[in-house]
Amino acid sequence: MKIYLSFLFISFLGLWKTTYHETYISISEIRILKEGKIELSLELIAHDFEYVYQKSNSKEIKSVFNEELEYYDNNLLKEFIFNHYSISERNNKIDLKIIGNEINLDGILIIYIEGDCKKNLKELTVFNDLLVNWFPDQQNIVNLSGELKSSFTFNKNIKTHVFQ
Amino acid sequence: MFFNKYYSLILTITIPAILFGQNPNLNYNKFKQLKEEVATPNVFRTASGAPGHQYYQNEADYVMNIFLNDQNQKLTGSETIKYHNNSPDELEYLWIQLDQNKRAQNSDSYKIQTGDIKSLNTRSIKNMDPEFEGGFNITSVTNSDGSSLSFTINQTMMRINLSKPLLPKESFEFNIDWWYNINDRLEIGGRSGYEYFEDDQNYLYTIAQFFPRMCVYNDTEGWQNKQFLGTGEFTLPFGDYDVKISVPTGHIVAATGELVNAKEILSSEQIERLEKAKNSEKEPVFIVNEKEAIKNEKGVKKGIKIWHYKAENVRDFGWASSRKFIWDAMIVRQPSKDVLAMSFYPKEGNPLWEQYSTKVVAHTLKCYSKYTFDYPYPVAISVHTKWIGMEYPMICFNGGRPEKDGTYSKRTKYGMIGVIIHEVGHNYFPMIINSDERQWTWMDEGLNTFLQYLTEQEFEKGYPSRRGPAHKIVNYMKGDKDRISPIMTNSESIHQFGNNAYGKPATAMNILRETIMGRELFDYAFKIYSNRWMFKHPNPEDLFRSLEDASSIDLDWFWRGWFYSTDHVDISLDNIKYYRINDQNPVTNKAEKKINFTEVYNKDISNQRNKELVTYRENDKGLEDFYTSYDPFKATPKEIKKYEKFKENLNEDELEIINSNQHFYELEFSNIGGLVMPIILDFTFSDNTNKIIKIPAEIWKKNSSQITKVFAFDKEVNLIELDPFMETADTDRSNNFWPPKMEPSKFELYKYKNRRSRPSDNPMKKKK
Repeated sequence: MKIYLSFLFISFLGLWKTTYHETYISISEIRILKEGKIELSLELIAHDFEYVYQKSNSKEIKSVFNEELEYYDNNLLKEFIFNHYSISERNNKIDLKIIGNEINLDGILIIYIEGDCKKNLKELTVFNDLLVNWFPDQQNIVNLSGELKSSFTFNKNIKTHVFQ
Repeated sequence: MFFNKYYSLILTITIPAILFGQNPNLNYNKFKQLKEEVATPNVFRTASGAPGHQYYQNEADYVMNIFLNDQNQKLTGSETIKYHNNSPDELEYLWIQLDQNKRAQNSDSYKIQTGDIKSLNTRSIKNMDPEFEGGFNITSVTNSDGSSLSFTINQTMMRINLSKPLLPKESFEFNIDWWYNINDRLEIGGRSGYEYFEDDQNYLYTIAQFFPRMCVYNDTEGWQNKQFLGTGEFTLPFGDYDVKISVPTGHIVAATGELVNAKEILSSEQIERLEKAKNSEKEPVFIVNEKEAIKNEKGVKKGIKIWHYKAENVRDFGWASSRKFIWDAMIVRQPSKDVLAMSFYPKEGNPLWEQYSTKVVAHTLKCYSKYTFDYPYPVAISVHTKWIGMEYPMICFNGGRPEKDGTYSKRTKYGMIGVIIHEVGHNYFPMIINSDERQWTWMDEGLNTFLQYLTEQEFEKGYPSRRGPAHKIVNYMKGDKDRISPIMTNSESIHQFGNNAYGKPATAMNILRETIMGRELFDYAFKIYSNRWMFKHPNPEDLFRSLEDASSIDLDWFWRGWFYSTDHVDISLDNIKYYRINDQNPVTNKAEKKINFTEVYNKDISNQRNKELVTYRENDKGLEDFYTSYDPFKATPKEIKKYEKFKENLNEDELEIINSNQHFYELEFSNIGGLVMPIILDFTFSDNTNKIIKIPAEIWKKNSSQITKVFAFDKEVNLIELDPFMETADTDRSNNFWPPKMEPSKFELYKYKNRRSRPSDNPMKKKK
């Protein structure tokens, strides 16, 4: 029954867009600080994000401006991003907060996220399936620095990884 | 003096691990020549990177009649192909590409998609049992005399089974009739197709890969008949095209080549405007303006019109058609030939398109030609589409649509300009320098993205280019190596297509130009490569060899590192030791020792507090002896005499060095990323002046993991920065400074910016 309901949900998702001829990626830089803090900057192609947001929510996300700076309302980003991106330590989801975002003129959206974790972190689980439902070749790179140093690339087949 | 112990430890542990599995008796030097990786030079392709004396390429000429059915979005065509075998080989069969079959219901491109249940969406579910009846319907294949010709279709390829081999220097003429359903590009996707405008119920067709096209037969691949799966694009022989396109009356057509029946198709006023455009160098002239296009899109006229085009020496043919088209044009003067830059767009593209599109086409031609050769074709066309960017000879389809109220953000504007530059630029790579896209995407996308970057920067100072500068590729290159492919990977097997085939090769070319070779040597060599392979089929080796041969720089290490490996750049300034020359003079040496001793003595906290203390010995003269007045820091006559003798034995050079009073710095570097690169250092001295020293990558020749080098200066060094202009794509700059300095992360920079103003609309809308 659960599977059936999931299927029904996806089948209403709407149209498809093909971007020729590049396949885009997202890159997130997670920095784990000694004092038990996580700082995350997540880069996506704004154009791709807008498309997937629209298809997933059946409504457009419109950017706003602060003088020349273009960005999205953090509250609109929150639900979408955290449905597709989460960080846990030993099965406990870390409470992440979007502190802001900006869309650069080269079309890159950067979302700034922070959260608290325990000090001397030895292990971190990342779930990341950003945009993969709509762009089958989407690759999501996560680079870790600070207390844990590593890199991993997520895709539509690999959505969870434990960094140690 | 940092990281010394840390990296010593790391190196001890990791180097054996890196070498695990490698045969210690073989040569893994980063500077090892590329001879095992590249094809051996031969009579077709020389060791200098030029076409060989027996280089050949086959040709295919087409005569086509195309009919567009606007009622049911169906395209019908009949074509005559004359194939010329210029090779020294007998060909028993010919191969033809049927790209539309990628959209056939039984296409392998649907079958090879992977993913779990959660990754499904509307399209992937539909693709399990595709509804759209796409793909070619081949209705007839005949000899020139009309008799049937045997053929076999294998997915996206069709083999013409010749009754007798096609001999060298002979030609074979045959006919194919076909039709297919045109795809809705926004719903089904695709490089070509149609867009439907619900408001005025019109279609805008951007049509390409629409006819059975000859494959390339050459000296490296034989027949290039690798199936079309969607990612690896095209490789096609050059030839002449004579194409008649039948469209509903009222449609405006844009196509590869020259319109040869303008007098039958266009009004006298439109012809007059077109002539005016041929003399307008500064501003585009409207052949169909917005008002006329709006009128045009409102009424469906009866009948058809045949637009007749001829194109010489092109590798493909593309076209677009719609009632909605506005059409403008301007002339681009070149030393060898004038070119008509043109744009075709619906009102939905304005005001952006009328202001920028044609001028961007003109700018692109001027800029690319400067670095390669004069654009050889008569026209260059930019056609407006939603979303995509896609290129064909003389014509390309480009995105960039303002909002409905006509306002747009800067991002939309730069996005549109960037895509037009890129797609028009593809005329050079691969339409003219005709590399094999199905094998090597980077040879056209990477080189084109590199020239796109140069063209963007010449369009406007500070243009926000997404790719080109070295620092923009670092996040990709430092990433998880399991999901990164070397640039030299076949188009269908690449991980992270955009970064691999566009970003990294474009950056590599820019680094070659700015850092490794210098602009003068690079530009000359790049132009040599472009001119050597203009209207020919180059392979990667031809580029590698040409750039080396024309510059006298051995770049094998660069190709090996940047194109054949996934190594990244992370050079670390590990350790610094400071030295001065000891001239052996006992007077100055002892005086210096005294200063050091006094400094330490005076710093000691107890000594400072005891300053006023009168000691027991000071109160009792009877405790004084020889050592009370003995000065250990004063040179003895014996020492002075010995020094004089030492000096007498020195030659002039030695004396000069001793008297130079130089400061010596021994710097230790380690190569953490694996990619060998030049070492560029910025030394800042105690008087706040600075000196840039650039050491070529060959410094890593004998040891590509760790090196030590001594630098001598007249002045004392206060600061050292490695890669000060961020030109080497160094992925970790935290180990580039002495004394150590942490650069703020993007996160930190953002967090401390002040952003208190209230959000609003885009500045253009706000002003409105």
